[in-house]
Amino acid sequence: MPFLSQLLGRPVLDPDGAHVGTLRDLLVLTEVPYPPVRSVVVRSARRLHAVPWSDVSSVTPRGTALRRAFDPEAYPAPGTDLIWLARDVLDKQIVDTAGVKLVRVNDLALVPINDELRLGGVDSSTAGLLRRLGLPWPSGLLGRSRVRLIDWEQVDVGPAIDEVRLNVTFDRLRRMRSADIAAVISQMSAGEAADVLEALQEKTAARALAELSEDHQAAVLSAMEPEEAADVLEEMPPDDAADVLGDVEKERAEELMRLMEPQAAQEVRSLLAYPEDTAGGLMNSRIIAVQETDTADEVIAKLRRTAPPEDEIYYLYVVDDAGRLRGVLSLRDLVVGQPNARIAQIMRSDVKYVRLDDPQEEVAKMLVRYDFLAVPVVDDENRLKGVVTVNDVVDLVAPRSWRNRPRRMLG
Amino acid sequence: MAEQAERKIPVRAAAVARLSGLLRLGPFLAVMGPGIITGVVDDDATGIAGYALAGARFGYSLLWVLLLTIVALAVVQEMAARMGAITGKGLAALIRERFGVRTTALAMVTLLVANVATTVAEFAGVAGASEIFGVSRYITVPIAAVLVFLVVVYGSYRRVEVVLLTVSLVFVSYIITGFMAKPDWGAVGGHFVVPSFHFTLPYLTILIGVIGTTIAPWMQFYLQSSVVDKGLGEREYRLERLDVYVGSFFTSFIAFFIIVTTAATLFVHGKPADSVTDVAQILRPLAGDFAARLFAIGLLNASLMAAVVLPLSTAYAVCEAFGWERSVNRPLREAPAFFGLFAALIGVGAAAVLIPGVPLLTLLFLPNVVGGILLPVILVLMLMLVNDRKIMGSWVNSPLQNVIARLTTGLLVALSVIYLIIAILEGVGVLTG
Repeated sequence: MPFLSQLLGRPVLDPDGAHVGTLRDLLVLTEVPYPPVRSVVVRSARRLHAVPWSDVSSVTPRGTALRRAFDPEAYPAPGTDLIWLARDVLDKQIVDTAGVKLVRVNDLALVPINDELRLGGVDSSTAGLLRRLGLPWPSGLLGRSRVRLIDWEQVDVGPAIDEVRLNVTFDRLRRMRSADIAAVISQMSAGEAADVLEALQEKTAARALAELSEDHQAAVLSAMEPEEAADVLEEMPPDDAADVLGDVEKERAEELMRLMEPQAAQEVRSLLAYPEDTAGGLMNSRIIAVQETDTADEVIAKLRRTAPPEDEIYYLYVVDDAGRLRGVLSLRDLVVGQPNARIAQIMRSDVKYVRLDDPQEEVAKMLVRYDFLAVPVVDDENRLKGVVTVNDVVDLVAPRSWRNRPRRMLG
Repeated sequence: MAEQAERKIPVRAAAVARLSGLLRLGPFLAVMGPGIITGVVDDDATGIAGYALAGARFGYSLLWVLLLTIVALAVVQEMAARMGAITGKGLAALIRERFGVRTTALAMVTLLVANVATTVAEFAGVAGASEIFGVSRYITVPIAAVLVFLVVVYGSYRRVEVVLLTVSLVFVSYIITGFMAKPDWGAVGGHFVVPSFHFTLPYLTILIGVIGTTIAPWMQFYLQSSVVDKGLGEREYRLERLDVYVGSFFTSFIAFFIIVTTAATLFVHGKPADSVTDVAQILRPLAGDFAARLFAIGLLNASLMAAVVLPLSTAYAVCEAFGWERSVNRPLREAPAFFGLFAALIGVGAAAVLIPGVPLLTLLFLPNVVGGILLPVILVLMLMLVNDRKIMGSWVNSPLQNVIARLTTGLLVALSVIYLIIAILEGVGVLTG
């Protein structure tokens, strides 16, 4: 199994064994799994020629053998429709979707199968680097730097390579979990990460963005096209969107909120008014509030209709006509109760809550102490303003090293 | 798209936007940083030594060089910042992606050689400054090394950055000492605008040193990575350019006063300054005890700041180039190459200074000459990258920028060649002049 670096620069020989040029690159079409080499780029008399694979008999580290005489006129300069392995892929960054990280392509492994030469994998190891440098491979000295190949079917091209021409806009990245996408893009610069998010579905992008660290979020959001950034923000729960926008430069944040749907922007705007480290700053203002006089059935029907996200459905809060918090019930209480039971009969009225200006540590403590999944937030007049879920405070409790922190030169 | 454009702009938001539009300072403060910090760190221990020697040995006669270096510095730094903003990649990554492994290895060896020498110089600066205060370097240098390591590995650099930038107001001390030295302002003005030149080895050494310390290889890597770190893009580019120009001006402004200070004191009184403590010792009777102390504090601050930035940016660039895990945000065991390089640079830097009898001034000045000779390698690569339309699109260099950057490169190559020829002709004894 040869590596690309062992093939490049080697002589190209015609059937008579005459030297006609050197091998400069291999061209593939990446839509196919383990893409086969479609043509080879030969440099001859200071010009580049694309020789189709059908005219190539073999490509080995010793040299490339042609099936027929080399006619410079018959082989035009290589076009732009194919991917050049050396020019476009080698030395660039790609996403290892299995290892969930960004790696640099030190070399490419090619596999001869039948009459074809197929791209098998990416070598990102230090051994690959040494091979490229033409240095011997001190395998005994560097025991752990053995060649580590990443299966080509498990890589995504990442932002470094001209994804438009590659025509595989983050296909594999798309299929990753949003937390894994976040882990990968946290290793990219803000501009690269922005490119990836713009290519993803807005919902996925929103979830991945929410998983990034605060300052990286702000940088990535600033690097995105404003319209795309606003669309992604709309997909985020208002409290997450407010958290992100709170770290973005003021003028930019205003611009993004203007581009968002007025209602979503309004929700975010009102949340931004609360200090970041208080219950008000943590809470989600989208609440499912029900009335004491509703029946269990009516509420279930309403939930079915509005299909709220799982974060918002842990508990249902009961309010009176003035919006004051009266009680709480869990989804379980609702489901196991009689269909025509009034909410007032099922709910618990000794509900624990926090106030808008309670510090975030207090909120986290309450969630941990009572094993709550969420806790309601009320204002001075006991009116329900929002909900803080366990997800909102998990960052306060989890060790720093668990978070997706950006790859920065200076911490 | 059309739908979005038609959305009504809330009145309050528009008012806020208009208000912050009137005070353009807000956006600039948000962008500001990379250029100014690079400019400030540029006046590191090697810079202070370089400019101080220039003044001590040749009086005001090298001041005119500052007019050239400020332009060259601004143009070169702007290129680095622009590449960062447009590509979102560090310089090391761009070199790797455009030129392949071998050229990258060459660039990294260049950077390593220059930066090892410079890191040694920063610790020499710590040693020199502490000895002006009468404290042994065997106490201060190890403390400084441990401090630098701990700050980067366990601390928050962002917080340290604020402290360092605040302390860097100490640089104002050089302006004060400049005035306290009571220079002949007429002579200063004359030499500032009228160039002079000598084909002697000491003169060329100092000349290359002044250029080499002003435009150093590490700065290009550091600045570009900082711009990328900050997530600055095309939109913020204009403000970032201003940031770079302000930083470049700052570097040369301080350099001016350092040269004036030593020229008005040491040169005028015929004292060549053979060591760092000399500079302070001689300043004492000539410009007062206060001036000498200010000089030492400035030197200490500059050395510590650069002792953090240099090893860090070197390790970062090398790991970026070779695709190794980097950044201080990773646990130590996940980024062994990064932390290993970082620790090795600090270790070598500190250890070299502690060798008994090692001449501090040589250690302080040597990196300037090494950097000046090696810089063209980096400049040539930068010029090729910044003019590559595939990478920069319409953001390639303007003809004027190309002329200035190429002249700078050509000038440095010419000077280096002349320097080497004369050095070979004259034999050894290069640095002591």
